[in-house]
Amino acid sequence: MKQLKEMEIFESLLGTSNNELVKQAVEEGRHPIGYHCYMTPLTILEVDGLFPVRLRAPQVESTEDGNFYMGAWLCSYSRSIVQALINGDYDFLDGLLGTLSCVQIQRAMQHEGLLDLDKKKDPFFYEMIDIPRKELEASERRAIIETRRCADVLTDKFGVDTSADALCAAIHRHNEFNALMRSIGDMRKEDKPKITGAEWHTVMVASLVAPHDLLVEPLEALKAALDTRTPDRAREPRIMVVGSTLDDPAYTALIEEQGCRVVADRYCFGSMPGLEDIDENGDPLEAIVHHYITDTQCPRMMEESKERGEYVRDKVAEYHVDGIVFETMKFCDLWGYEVVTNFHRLQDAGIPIARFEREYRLSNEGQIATRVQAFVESIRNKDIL
Amino acid sequence: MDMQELLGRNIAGANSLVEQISSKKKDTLIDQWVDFKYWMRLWKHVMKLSATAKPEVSAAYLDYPWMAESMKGVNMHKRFTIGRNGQALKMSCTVDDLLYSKMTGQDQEWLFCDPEHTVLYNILVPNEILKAMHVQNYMLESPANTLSMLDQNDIHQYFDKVYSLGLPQDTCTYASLSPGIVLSGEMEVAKRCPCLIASNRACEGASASWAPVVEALGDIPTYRMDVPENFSTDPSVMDDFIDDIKGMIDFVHEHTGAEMDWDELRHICENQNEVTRIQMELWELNRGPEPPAANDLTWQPDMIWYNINPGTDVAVEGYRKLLKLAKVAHEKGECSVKNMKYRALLWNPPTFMYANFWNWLERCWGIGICMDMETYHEPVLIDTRTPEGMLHGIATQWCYAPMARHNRGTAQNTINGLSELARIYRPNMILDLNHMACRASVGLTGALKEWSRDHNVPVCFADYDMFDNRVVSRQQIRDQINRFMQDVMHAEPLDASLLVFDDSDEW
Repeated sequence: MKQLKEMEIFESLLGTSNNELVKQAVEEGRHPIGYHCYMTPLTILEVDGLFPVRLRAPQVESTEDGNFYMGAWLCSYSRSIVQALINGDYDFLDGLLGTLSCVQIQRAMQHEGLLDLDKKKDPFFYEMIDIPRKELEASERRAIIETRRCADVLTDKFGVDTSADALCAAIHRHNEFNALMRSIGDMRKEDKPKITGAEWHTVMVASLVAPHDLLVEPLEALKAALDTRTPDRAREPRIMVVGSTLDDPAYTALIEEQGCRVVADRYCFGSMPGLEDIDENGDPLEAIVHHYITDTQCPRMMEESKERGEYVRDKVAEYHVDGIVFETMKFCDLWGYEVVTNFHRLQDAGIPIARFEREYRLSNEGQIATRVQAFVESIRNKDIL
Repeated sequence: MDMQELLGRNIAGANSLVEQISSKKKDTLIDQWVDFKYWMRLWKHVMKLSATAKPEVSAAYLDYPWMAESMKGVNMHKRFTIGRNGQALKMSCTVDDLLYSKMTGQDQEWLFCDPEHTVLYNILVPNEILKAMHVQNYMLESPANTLSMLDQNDIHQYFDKVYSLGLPQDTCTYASLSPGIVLSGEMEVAKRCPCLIASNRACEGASASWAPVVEALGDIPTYRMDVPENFSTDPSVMDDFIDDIKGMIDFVHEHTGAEMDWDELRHICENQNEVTRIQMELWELNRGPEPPAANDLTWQPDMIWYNINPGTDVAVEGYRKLLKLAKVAHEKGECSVKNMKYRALLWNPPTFMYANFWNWLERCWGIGICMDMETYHEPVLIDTRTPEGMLHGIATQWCYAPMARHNRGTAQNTINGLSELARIYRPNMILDLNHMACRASVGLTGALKEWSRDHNVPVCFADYDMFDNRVVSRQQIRDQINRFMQDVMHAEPLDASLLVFDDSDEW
């Protein structure tokens, strides 16, 4: 398919943490607050005067300091985040909102305090919320209390409005933005998608690292360009990528170079979940917390192993997926156990599935390419037979 | 693994052990007599257990290789007590004697003879609740906790089973051992149990490992406790945990019909309080220049009588006996480590695949571990006047349980804990047994190194795997400690023959 110049803005946002739209928003007097986990109630960071920035490490090439502080046997994502923090890649942030989600990224976030990196600016917002590992009323109540406390601290430090009205407005904007994103993402359901998996991944990651309002115009332009784009003539095997956090579209591009199309993305930094609406009725803070706790597909949720498998199967049907690439980050315990459970469940359900282990940064390209190429060929052969 | 292979490997292990033990005589005839007497008593307990075992339990010894491994317990005791004399020897013997005479066998009988009325649970679940509800119970990690301590080599097949299903080999072997046993089909009887109580502790690897276990047990009804992590920064979260404990009580009632007996819970909590008081007194003695209960004498009783099986009458009995012996040793100036040269703290759990490594520390380098991370806890006394008071006390104790408090929540849980122990026990050095698969612990490696520099206390980082000796062998652990002692502490070994030796076939 013809390359779209409308994609350039999104691609440019991924090369550096302090990208042009972040700089623009900061110049306008808004406060960027970093976060690391899907389960963060980040809509409280979408009120006027604030904007969320999901942590990545695009500028980190090696993790010597991260390895020193975190040891060599933690996932390379968490070590890269520590390295990025130490390198000063996130010095532009005015705060960090962490969650006690997976222990590795917890430890990474804790180094912000351990290394006194939070003392570089004043005021600096630095909080960690305990989020439940199961759906229990008491735990959700606790998460709501902690989120309310964080919202009050944000108001106190930055003078932003986190009242119920302000949160309602933030939810509404959040939902509108998601609707726009979905209008593009849903194109992947078509038999011959007009957007590649790598392009979608780029757009999705960009939406998490730049202020939403500054992305509306580029997204609308992209949508218009996609509407008139001529898709590829041949139908390629449709692949769903499932697994650990994946914020580098180069992985998706590598997978697609083996002769397939990635049409579904079930990983952190993906859209499944990621673009669902938050309930606009009732108490907005409760709605925000409830949404992020219940909408997640993170394997840290103790009681939902089977539900996660069913979710993937549903998406396989919805997106007419021919096969799943199951990728796990090395040293990720949660996804490691998903291999023992859901990988086999999906296999037993008759879904072609291939697995590889990877690092945070794209490496072992040859091995991954070979693995995926063989998998794609097996799908093609299955179709022929 | 079949029984023939099991026997063959064990004969090699037994021979190696006999050779080692026979070369280590006790200092005095009294010590020799104590050693012999308790050895006979332990065998008596084991034989009695075997002779009086119900047919179902006897059959389990043949059906499940991990059951048969428990016969090596007496030899584990011998490995712990090599070179040990005086009050220290008596303390070791007391602990194991009580363990075998009063604490072994009941839970296995429940599991194998009456599984339909036996509730399964995982470690770090408040099992006082199950005891107070008079519910038969079995800790599903019981085999995992003891297997590699009994024999470093006879457990690889369980790891390999989960690895064959795709679990990455860098995952915590403690978390993967129980799934390995279940998925190998060596816990089939557990499928008949009414329910399972699991939790989110000690870490997320352990938490995640229950999903395949639950599935393998036929989707056994499971209650998952979600213990809060912010307990040290926000004490009000205890209320959430208490709600969760109440949920557990309702769940057990739903699946067994059992009711909470608050009087029984009071008795259990009062026992636990008594153990806490005795521990404070006993641990205080270790602050002196000749700690009477260093190394495993501190760790083992706390593990079995405070953490794994709290609130029992035998725990009170055992600790009272230990304190009495420790006081005698203290008055005599008798250190439990014969030639102690270094006061140390142990950070992280000990080497389960090298259960008697404390013994090696003593005899090779004269290292006395005055306190360790798993053992030490704040003296939380439970208010037994009301049910709410008891639940609050239990909730607090379990939030601050070992590993759980270090692996979860803020980094200060770990760093401040270490600082506190160093302040109290004034160590010359700290031994950090760095279980490489423990993400929470490894994630603070740099912080620990900086702590060491700031507090001027050398820390020996020995990287290893807690349960799988194929990753780092016992000799490789010793090599790391040897290098540290020679290069950093400039120490001379007490016995150079213990620097390097082949115990790869030993149990």
